[in-house]
Amino acid sequence: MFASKLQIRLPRRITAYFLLFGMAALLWLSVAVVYIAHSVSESRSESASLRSVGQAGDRFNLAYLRNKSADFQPLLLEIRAQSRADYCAVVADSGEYLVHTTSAYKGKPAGEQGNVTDRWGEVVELQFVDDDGKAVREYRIPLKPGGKSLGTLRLGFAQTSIWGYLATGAQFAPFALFGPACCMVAGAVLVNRMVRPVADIEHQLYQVATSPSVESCDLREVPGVGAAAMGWNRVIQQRSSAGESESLQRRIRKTVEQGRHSRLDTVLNSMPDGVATTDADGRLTYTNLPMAVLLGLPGAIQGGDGANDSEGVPLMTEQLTKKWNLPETDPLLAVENRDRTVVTELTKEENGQRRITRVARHPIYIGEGGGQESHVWTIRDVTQQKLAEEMRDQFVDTATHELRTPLANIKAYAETLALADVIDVEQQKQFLNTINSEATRLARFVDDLLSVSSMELGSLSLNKQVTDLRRMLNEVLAKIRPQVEEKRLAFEVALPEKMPEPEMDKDKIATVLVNLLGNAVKYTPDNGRVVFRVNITDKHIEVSVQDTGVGIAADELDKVFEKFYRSNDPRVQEQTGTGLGLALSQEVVRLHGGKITVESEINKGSTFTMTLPLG
Amino acid sequence: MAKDKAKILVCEDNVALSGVICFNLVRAGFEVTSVGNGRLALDACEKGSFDLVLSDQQMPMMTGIQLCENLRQLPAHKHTPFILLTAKCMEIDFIRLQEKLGVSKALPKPFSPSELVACIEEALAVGCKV
Repeated sequence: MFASKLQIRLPRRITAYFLLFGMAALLWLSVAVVYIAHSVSESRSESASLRSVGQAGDRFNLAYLRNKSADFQPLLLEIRAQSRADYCAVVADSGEYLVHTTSAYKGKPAGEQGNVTDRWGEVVELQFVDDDGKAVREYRIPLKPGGKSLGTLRLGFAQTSIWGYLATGAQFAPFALFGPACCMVAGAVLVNRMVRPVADIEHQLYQVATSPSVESCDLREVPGVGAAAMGWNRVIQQRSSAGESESLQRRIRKTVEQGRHSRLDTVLNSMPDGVATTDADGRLTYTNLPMAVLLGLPGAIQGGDGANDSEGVPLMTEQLTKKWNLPETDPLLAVENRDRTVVTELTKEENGQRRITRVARHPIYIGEGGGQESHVWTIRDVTQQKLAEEMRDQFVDTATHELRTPLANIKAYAETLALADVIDVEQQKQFLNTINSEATRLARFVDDLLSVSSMELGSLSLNKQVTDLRRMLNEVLAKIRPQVEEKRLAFEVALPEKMPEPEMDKDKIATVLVNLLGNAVKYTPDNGRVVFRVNITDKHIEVSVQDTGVGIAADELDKVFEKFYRSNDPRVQEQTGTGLGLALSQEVVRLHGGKITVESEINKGSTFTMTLPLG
Repeated sequence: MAKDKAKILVCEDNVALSGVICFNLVRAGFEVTSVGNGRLALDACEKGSFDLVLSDQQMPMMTGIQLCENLRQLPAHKHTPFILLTAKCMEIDFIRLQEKLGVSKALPKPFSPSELVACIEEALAVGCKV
């Protein structure tokens, strides 16, 4: 819409106007000069003429008085020369030329044409156009030599018209006008040059004004040192450097983000937990390496360079169903849980081993640049944790049972004895014995519990004393024999002849042996065999307990000494046990500087060997 | 007049405890059958009928609650009163047991034998509401 008006560029117009008005001024000036010169010379000539006429009149009068009949022509010629007139004449009162510079006119009648244009005293000025068409100015002064009127003296000046002036001036004009014209042109050039930067700027701004997108305009610097040019150039520089700095910023940001990404990637890939993100449809948009492994994917999804084609990318829940038996009823699949944090546990069997994972899904709140992600997932293998928890739970169950059962017996029997009407003495004794043994059992279990606590706290201490080894062994055997007999087990005992008297915590070592023997008896079915062997060497005491019991599976062999560990073998689970006996025993033996080792074959039996250093 | 003795099945793996329970129940006038685990208890229930089943909770292979669940599958014992002896009274959701399985009472260990007898008599009187 502005286009039509922007036909002629501004600087050209400026230059044009400059030239135009300059020339006009020059012209006007020339005209004025000419006119003024003309007027000035006119008035000068006028006054000169007047003076001349006056002088001429006087001179003539004088000359006439001197000689009336002289030839006055030379005098008139002289006057004419002096006053620079065109002609000089004396016209009698009767009207004919008495004398005339042009001798031909003598005697002829003088013309009277002409208008009186001015009057100074006696002098009259007339202007007329003569027969030749020339403009004439005539000054007349009456001649009255000696008081007697003779006629008028006429002094005629050809009028130089303005054209005459111009004609004369025309010779000088080129020279006169050359100077100013040169100045004008120089001025125009200078103006043009001054204006050029503005013109360039304006041209570019014209582009900006008429193009649809400002950004796409190619704006360039303009040459020049003026404020406009420098200002514009600076703007352009800033525009391009802003553009540059913006693209630089973008590149930096991208690099930093990539750097951060790759650092984050490294960090995420170094975690044991699996981390993943999914989009609004539940498709994986990112997985770290552990997650890829956990989900059984061919590789981690760590793109950022180019979108993965979403057909190939699996749904997280599908993957979980495939690999981790995600049940249909799981809260992860409930629609109402989409915007809530969901934590669930999934179990699977792998190579006969149970593996449990904890899956947590959190919604992502789209902040700045949230992008596609809508959920973040973490998966953690909690198998160990679960096993530990389960063992602990099992222990608590067992502990409760082991504490409450003897108590129940004690209470029941005691109350029965107290309240029943008649109980025969034998039965009474039996009941009391039961109370006694249950109390003992309870006491032992409480001791175990306390020992375990000490072990946990690291405060299990030994009361080392010189011990009669033979006596201690016999006591242990005596304790275990009833149980052996109850199960009708064959019991072999091999003790050496000479027994040292080592320094040891007698009670605790006795407990260890009772534990080992008790296990052998417990886990050996009826009619089996238990062998108790003691071997003394220079440096050690070796006590081994061998049974023909259920045995221990190879993969459990190193676990049996763990606190709370109870074998998964149902034959073991059948028996009550806290899983503490071997752990405690090992600790006690370790504190003595010894060790307990085990050899076993499932279904065949086990041999536990305690080794204590001597000396 | 011979009083019809109520038949009680006692399922307890601890021998000593089983002994004192049976002693007291017999003294209280019940006819007592005692078994050492849940499997044997179910066998006994299939073969005969009982007026009440008394069981320990923590037993290997089958817990007392599992025994009750299985018991309810037997047509003869759908509504037989059931008393649970347990060392873990706090963890058991007794309301659910009562509603779903018709357990009359969950008695914590250690318990008083006379209290046990009273519970049995009450359970027999009230019957099983399931």
